[in-house]
Amino acid sequence: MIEVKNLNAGYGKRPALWNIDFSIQLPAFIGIIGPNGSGKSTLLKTILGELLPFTGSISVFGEPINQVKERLAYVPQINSVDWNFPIRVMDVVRMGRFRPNSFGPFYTKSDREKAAFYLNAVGMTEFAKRQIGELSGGQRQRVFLARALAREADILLLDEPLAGVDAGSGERILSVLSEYHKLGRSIIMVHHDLLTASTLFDHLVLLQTRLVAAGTTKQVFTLSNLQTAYGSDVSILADMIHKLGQNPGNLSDHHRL
Amino acid sequence: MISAQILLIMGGCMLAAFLLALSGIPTYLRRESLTGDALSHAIFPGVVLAVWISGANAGWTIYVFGILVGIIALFLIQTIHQKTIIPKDGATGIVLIVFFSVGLLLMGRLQRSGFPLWGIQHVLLGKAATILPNDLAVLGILALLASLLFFTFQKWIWAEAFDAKFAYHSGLPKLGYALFLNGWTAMVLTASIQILGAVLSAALLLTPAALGHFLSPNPRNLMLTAVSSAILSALFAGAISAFLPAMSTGALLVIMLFIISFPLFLFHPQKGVAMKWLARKKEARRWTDENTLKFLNSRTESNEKMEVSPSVLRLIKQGFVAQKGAGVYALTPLGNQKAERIIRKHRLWETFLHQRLLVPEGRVHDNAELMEHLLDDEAEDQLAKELNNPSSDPHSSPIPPKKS
Repeated sequence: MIEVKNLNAGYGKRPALWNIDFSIQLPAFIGIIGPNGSGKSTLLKTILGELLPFTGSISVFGEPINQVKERLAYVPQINSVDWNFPIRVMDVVRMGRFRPNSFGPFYTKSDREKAAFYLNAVGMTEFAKRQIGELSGGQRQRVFLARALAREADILLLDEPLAGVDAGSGERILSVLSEYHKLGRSIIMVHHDLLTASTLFDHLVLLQTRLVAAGTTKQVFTLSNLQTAYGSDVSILADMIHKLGQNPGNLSDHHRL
Repeated sequence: MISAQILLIMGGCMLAAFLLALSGIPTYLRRESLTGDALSHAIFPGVVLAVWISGANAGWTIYVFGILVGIIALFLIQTIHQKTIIPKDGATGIVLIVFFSVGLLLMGRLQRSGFPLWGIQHVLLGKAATILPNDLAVLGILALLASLLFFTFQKWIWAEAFDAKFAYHSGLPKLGYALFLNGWTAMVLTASIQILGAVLSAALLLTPAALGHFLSPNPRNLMLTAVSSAILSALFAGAISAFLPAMSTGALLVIMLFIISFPLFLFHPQKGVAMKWLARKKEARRWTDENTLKFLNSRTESNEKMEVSPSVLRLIKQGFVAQKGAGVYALTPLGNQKAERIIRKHRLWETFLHQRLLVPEGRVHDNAELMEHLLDDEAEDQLAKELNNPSSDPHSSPIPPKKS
């Protein structure tokens, strides 16, 4: 269970999230959606403990987040590191096995095997010995995903992993994520594409600075909720309804998974 | 004849170079090189204070004060950076200069009052030539400790330097690590500025790591390159200063490091700046020569006189062009064959653009002018196969067949 209670959070004095309250049973594949500037990344950062909330609390598995950090793994946005760093792809993935009690210059055999396993899962084995600087955007994202997977954490957190990624890498990432979820683990992912959001996730958190709705995709993905969240941005909705080719009245029925 | 003093100098320089090169790697990789520079100057007032308080017996108090003042300086830099709009490099520069000035003022007062300085007057420029067995012992112990720490915490160092947030999330203690690393750097510098001086210590902290980064694909090689280049420079510097006693050993050490680095920086086969420039130049020549071949092939009147260009001269040397008389040049059979290959690539690409990418006929030429130089033989064959070996291009010009 992930429980968010009376959460207010933001940067400086300006709140990016107001009075967020929800709880979702885990394991789950949760999408955080909403228009630009609706606080999606802020919520993710607060769950990660990177940003301290003004008020309120978040608990995971019944414990406050700073006590369960070991059970979370996250995939940062790829521009958050220096890709000229002198290191090979497999060294990055092995860092997913880092623990404070990892002393000495080498990772253990089982750590190295796990890193190799997850590198293979994202389809990057042939690049294992390459310099990270030689990779394309989509490949970098896959390497970061492999590093996070290698932590074998209960919850995986991602911030728009498909942004700026080629179609092939995108498909690979999504299929790896759904495999990971099938193993009984949870994924919390910021996502901005409404079209895929309705089929990808089993739970949604719909934000517009305040919480519009949270729960199963069927409960959340309704036209009235989306209108509340996206409001004036009618073009997005119209476009989506057009593409889905269905009656806006029973938008959600189609997406029962 | 090598005297004991020269051995002492060489040993001291090698130990100091090893110690600084190793200790500088984490700082360099975290992109905090300026911090090392700042520390080497900021600890100066701490060293002076320690001598003022404890006199000749300063010993370990120097280290306590050095580390303490160093940490205070870094804390100030961090505070200025976070609480004002001044960027980190600006804050670093300001704190560095202010602390160093305080150190100079303090030392001036001490000197004026006739207080014995116990060797710290060398903090500016170093005193490698008058190194004492005691100094050697301190450097030796620190070098041993550095090796041990580096061995034990290697994975911490790489993980934190590459992606600090991810490392903290995996359990690496953020504040503890930063404090320890900076404290260690301050301690190493306190030892080294008394021997090599502030400026040279800062240089030795940064340069070997930078050279290692330039040359190495992975952390382990980086470490080996940094350490071995530093030790090598120290050896040379020691040897030179044995014969030319008037030269500062510390300064020689840094210059040696530069002399080792600079040719690599220029002439490293793949990464050297000069080699890259040469490769570009060679590529540009190839394009010109290929265009000359095409031009000679396209002339209807082959006895026409022409200006001789460097390109024509190169082609004559390679046997693609022959001189037929004064100012008259023509393709040899070999040259003709080569020219047709380039035309073949050009026209195949035009056909591909037109047929497969639906580029209008009138707009395919300019792009093909570039691609004719870029397509290799394998791509040429695949292109021909993909297009079912066409015999003419979109402008109905014939595509020469491949002769092998």
